[in-house]
Parts: sequence; structure tokens; C-alpha cells
Amino acid sequence: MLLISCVNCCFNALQSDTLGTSMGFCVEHKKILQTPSETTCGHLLRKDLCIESAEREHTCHEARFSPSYVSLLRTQNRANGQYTSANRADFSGFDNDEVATAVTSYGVFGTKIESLSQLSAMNGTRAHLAFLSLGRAYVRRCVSSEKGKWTSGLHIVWWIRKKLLEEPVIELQDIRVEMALPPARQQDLARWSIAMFRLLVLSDVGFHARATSHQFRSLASLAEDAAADTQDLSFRKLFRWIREHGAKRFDKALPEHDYLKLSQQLHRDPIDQNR
Amino acid sequence: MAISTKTTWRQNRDPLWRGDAAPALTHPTPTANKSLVRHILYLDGAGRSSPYHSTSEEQAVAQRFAGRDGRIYSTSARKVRDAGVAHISRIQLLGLLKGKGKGDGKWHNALEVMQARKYVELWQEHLLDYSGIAAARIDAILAVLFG
Repeated sequence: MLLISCVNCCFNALQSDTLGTSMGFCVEHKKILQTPSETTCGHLLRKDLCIESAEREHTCHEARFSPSYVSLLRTQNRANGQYTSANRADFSGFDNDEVATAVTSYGVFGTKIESLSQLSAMNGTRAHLAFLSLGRAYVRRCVSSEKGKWTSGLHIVWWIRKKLLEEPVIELQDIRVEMALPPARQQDLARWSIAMFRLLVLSDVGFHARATSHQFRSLASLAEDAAADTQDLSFRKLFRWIREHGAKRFDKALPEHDYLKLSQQLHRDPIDQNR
Repeated sequence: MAISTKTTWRQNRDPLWRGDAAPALTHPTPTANKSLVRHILYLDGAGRSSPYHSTSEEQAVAQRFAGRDGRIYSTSARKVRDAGVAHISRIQLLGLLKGKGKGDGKWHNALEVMQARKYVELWQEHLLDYSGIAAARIDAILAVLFG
């Protein structure tokens, strides 16, 4: 049941299947997750599925687990202090870790989009994983709110585009679990996962734009198309596809002048609008 | 260039490990949906029914699935075969999970097929397929396989 645990949830941005810190952190419950593979809650938003499947699984999950507290997956009992901690003293373990500090203070000292901007500018795969996880959750929440539009993900997709042609660098210390695979293969799979996660978040925003006439809606199938075209589970193949097809499709769907125009509309001061 | 993966697990000698709840194994449902992608990606939520049991070549993987309160169970490909349960090996799974999948690996979304393939590789997964077994015999078979 690892895949429906906190490990695979976007609200725990410090971990994925093989990458990250040994402990997780839930930005919804503001708790350290000591054994995230054994816990869950009704907020579950999976990192590994297309948005339609992730939403369907979220609905199944919410019917079984309360969003109000962290539960044990196996018994559905409320997770106690053996499994989670909200004690500030325990947070000190994250103090020297730039990414963990940014995640534990997500949306605390400013807006969430400011926190995402900060994460997007950091180097390293763990920072990028956190940015993508929280970015996915952010866009979904904005869009599901009453006046939410796909453009709530405008800056996020632009920041992803800036990194789209950068190969993810996986350091050995980024890998949090022992696997029987050769390290080079583990790194290859981790790089594939990060590159595919970028495409998934772009696809999410494309999905949210489907009811509009904007070209960004054409990216709704981007991640799936990449998988269908590459066939093999190989980072090299996927990255070549992104270089030759994915980036071009993005640039056609959202050219820079269009981004700047939409960005200005997004940030137009309401006072200016009334003039 | 083909990417090398670990190939040292030997079907006739090495165990298959499973992490599950300590009091009892999750009960397979022979008549449940046979989709491999649905099973491997754990779709349809906690407690969903499945005709499969996932096992791994690696005890450490089973430990992760067992968690702190669970238990590690073991069986072997020979016991599985002798009990009349179908064994779908890691190599077979990898062969079925390409593109939009083949056989029971067929799925509407190529990305989700690929994610399932990734987990098979990461977890060194083999499946035990109970779909041809009469429901009344399941308890006795589990006792033989994992007892």
C-alpha cells in the first residue's frame, strides 16, 4: 500500500518512491512524518498518476480516510506520536537542510506562490521534487476554488519550462531507500521520474485549460504522449523526446509574449482595473 | 545499449518475499479485476479486491511493505506452481508492461503502464495469480504457500 501512503502524496514534498529525506513532512497537517509509508489521510493526491486518475483515487481515498488527521493505513486509526510529530523541537533536525526548511515553512512567511518561486530557484533534485509536488497541489487547489482558472498555474509552468531541458542530477545522497538495482539504474529511474513529473504538472495545467480556447489545452496529453512515444523506461529516450517534441509543443502552446501578457493580466492591480 | 538490471534471483532456489499485516495475509479474490496495472498501481483504493498477491525477490522490499507492525512472509516459485497458482515473474511482467500493455497488462494510458513497469523494476516484483482458484480453496492454499 506504499502508493496510497504519504510517501506518494504531493503534500509530502520531501519524498518520492526512492528520492528524498528519510522522514517526510506534510504541509497540510504541518507534521513531520516519521513513517510516511505507513500513514495517509483524506487529502491524498498521488504524485505518479495523470490528474484524472489521481482525482479518482483521491475520491476513493477520501471516502475511507479523514482529511482532518493523519491515519495509519492498515488500521485506519489516528496516527499517534510514534508516527508523526508537530513538536517544534523535532523540526530542528531540518534546520541545516535548505529544502526541508523551505518545505516546512511553505506558505508561512508569505504566499504559497512565493514559497514555490523560492523552491523553483534552488538547485538540486530534492528542491525540484518539492517544487513539482507542491506546485501540482497548488494548481489543483486554485482551480477547484470558485473562481479558479488554469492561469493560476501560469508561473509554475513557466518555471518548469525554464528547467525542462536541464537534466536532473541525482546525487547518491538523494536516494533514500536501499534497492537491489545497480546504482546507475536507480539514478536513471529517478531521473526518468523527475522528468516525467515535470510533464505531468504541465499536463495538469493543460487539463485545467481544456474548457478554454487557449492553446495550452493542447498540453493535457503531454505526459501520456511522451510515454506512448518513448515506449521504454529510459531517461535518455524520454529526455530526447522532451528536447525534440515536448519543449516545442510547450513553446507553441505558450510563447513568451503570451506568457508575459497573461502574467500582466494575472497581476493587474484591482485598483487599476477600476480606473 | 540495454540497461542492465539485477538478474541473480534464481527461480528454483530463491524465495519470494511478501510484506503484509501480521495477523493474516491479505485475502486474494479470484474473481476480481485482472488488470495488472490496476493491481500494481494500487488503484481503486485501500481494501480493494485483487486476484493477485505481490511478492518480491528482495526481503528488504517486503520489509518496507510490512512496515513496523507487519510481518514478512515467504514462499517459493516451486510451492506456487505445485499449489496450482500461476506465477507471473518479474521478467514476464516487464514484457507485458510496454507501450499500452499486453494481455492483462493492457491499459488505456501508456504513462500508467510505464509507472507500473517502474515499480516492478524497483520492487523486483513477481505476482501470484489466484484467478483460476475456487474461492473455497484459498485459505488452504495460502497455508501451504506461506505456512
